[in-house]
Amino acid sequence: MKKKLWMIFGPVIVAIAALLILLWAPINFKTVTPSKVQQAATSLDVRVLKGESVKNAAEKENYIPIIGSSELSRMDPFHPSSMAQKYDWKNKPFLLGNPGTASLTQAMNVNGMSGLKGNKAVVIISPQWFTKNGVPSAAFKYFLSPLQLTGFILNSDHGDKAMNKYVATRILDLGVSKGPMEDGALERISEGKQITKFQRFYIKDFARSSLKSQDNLFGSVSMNNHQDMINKASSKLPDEYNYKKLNNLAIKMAKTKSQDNELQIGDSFYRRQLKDRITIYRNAHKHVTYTHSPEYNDFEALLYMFAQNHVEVMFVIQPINPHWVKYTGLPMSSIANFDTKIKYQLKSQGFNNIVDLSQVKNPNYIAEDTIHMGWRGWLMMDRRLKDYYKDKKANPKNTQYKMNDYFLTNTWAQNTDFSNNK
Amino acid sequence: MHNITPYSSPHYFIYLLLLLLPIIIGLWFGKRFKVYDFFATVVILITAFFGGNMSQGISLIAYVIFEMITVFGYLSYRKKHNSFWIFSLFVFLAIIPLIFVKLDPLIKNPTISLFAFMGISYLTFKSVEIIMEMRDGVIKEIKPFEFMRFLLFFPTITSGPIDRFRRFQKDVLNVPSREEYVELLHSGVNKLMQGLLYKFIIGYFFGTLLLPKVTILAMSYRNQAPLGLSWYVLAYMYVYSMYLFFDFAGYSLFAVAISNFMGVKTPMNFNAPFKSKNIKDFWNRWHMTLSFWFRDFIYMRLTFTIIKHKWIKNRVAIANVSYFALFLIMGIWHGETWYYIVYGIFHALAMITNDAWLRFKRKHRKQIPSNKFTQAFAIFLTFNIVCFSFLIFSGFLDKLWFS
Repeated sequence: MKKKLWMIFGPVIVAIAALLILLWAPINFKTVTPSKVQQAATSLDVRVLKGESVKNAAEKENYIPIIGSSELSRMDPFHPSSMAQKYDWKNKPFLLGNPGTASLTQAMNVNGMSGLKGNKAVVIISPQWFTKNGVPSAAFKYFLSPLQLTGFILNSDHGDKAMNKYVATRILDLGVSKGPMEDGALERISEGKQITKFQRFYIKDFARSSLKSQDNLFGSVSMNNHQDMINKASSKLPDEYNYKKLNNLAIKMAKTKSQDNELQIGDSFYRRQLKDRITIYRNAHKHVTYTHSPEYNDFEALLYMFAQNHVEVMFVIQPINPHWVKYTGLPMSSIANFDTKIKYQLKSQGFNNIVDLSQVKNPNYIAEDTIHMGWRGWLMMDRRLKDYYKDKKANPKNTQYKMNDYFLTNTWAQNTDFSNNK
Repeated sequence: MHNITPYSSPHYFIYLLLLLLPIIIGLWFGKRFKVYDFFATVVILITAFFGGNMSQGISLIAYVIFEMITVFGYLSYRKKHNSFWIFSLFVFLAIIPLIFVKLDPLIKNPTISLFAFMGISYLTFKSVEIIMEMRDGVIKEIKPFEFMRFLLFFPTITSGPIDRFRRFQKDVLNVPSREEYVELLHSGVNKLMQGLLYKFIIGYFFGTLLLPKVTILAMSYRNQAPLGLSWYVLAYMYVYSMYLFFDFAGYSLFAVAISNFMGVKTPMNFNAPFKSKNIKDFWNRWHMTLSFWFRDFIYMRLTFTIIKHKWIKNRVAIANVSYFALFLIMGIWHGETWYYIVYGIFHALAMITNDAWLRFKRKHRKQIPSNKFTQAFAIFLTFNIVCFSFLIFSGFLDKLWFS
């Protein structure tokens, strides 16, 4: 009978023991190698975004993150990753962003990047994040990393109380539920209380340690690989960096790639996404504004995360294809007002490095399709990145931020009259 | 606290097995603790239905009371009389709550689905089975406690497999011998592990990792070809089919495994369905407890009634009409959308065609070859027809064409 029982339960017991060791034993599985980091830098794999190990390994090497969203996948020759490879920038871009990632996802992401402390980063801001309802709950949930969530909960005993309170409330409002213990801890943070000792113990020693092992074990296994794409893109660039010549090349390439339509939209995108239903967009954005949005508060949370880690940040305001703007009837004032508001939020708190591509003199071929930068847009951005990427360390002079929790309030989210002050 | 869907996460099993431990120890020593069984059922029902605003739990209680009244009302009637119309009335009464819930999406009136809770279909199948077998005279006596225990048997409460009352009674009234119980534990552990592999590894791969990707791809190419048909729609069809099978088969394995630990041999739901030689074979292997239920309580009874009243004389026509009725009802049961109905009609036509082909084959046995190649082809063809029906069932075509 004993043997019979062992034949039944033995394998299960062995399997459980193996699992426990794999997930909770304090073994550091070294799966992240420099070549993995290189692959991760352009892979845009969601596990890279949601994990921590690969990004922190990258921070120890010569990478500066570019934090954005869908535009990062527009890998034409002028994409920063391609340019950095071709012209041997000392530091290389590490891309963090997917279609659907917005400020709050990135705030959680940055909070988890402990290696970013005292270093530089780039953020590409999309006006389209700042819609009336802000980030859709489904998108936020999809990108929310349980690992980063535990990190946020454990960090909540220091840092700005108003910000922690805001983020916890917002996460709960977006309908996130990652387990009773995590929910309970978020609830306490949202009420401005410290998490209980037991919550800390459970989340730190039980939940997070296992999530960390999982991230170490699986965070960089069979990632998406865009290295070939980058190689192909950068091979089309001339050996010598000359802005004027590159600018002409960008126009030439963009022209041949957008012959289907009058809107300077890339052909493949146009055929796939627009061709048959483009007319529904005609004048469809007449009443769109980007100035009333909870996203402003989420964005503030992201700024707080940078400030807490003394990160020097370059902000790039993403352009919209001007022909598309005209076609959809989006008022120029909507773009201009957005610009003013976001810049006010940035500058008044000491984030002064802003590259505004939303209102340039010659915006032809600035976007690869409708709302995603590409071609000349990338090139204009690269021009500023080139020098910024010479040094990876933050200049302490540029990280003297004066954070203001007014920007976490709904008053600010809905405010458009801020020319004088709050 | 939210409702916890049984078997939906690996953590659930840790708590569930702890809860089961006293039952397992009891059975090991040849005892069933009735009171503890009751306690465990209450715990599972509370976690599954009484989270949040408790609306599901309240519906469940109201539903059980309603079904009790119906079933025991019919029992006391049946002891003295046996009218077909009264019987039909009670069957209708028993399915009223389910009809309300299923009509809800159609008429978009949330108040009529007062009875909505997860698993209402499966409880209704069980109640209807009891009423039907009371009419047949095979169930003569049933105590309210036994009815509740059968209806609320927690391993199968949310999605089956659908057990039969008399079979179930045989298991719970009996305590397995030590040898039998060791065999049950063996089967339970194997099924539990197989279920974990199916649902959390293979099902996860197809459903969580692959399905969203092919969905996006198929949707993004939908303006490029007539009806939005691209290769990705085909990919979606296979990925969805695999997901559907592994997710549901995994779930069913859990339900059978947990039943086994409790000394109950709940019937299996799947038997290698993708190995089916034809569509009839498929329905004997796919979601078996449901298709057997439909076979026994709709198809057979309808066929029998038609023959008895001589409504139709032709045997083939009788079978075909019954197939239509069966699959149409199955389609409607899934939900009042065009794609569930089309799914039902599609399977009815497939069954009718299959029967016609089998008749033809029987007549021309000599001319039609039968070898390994034709058998492999039959499996291949059946698999693809089934997957195509799942594409209809998935509702993806609705999204592709009309959203």
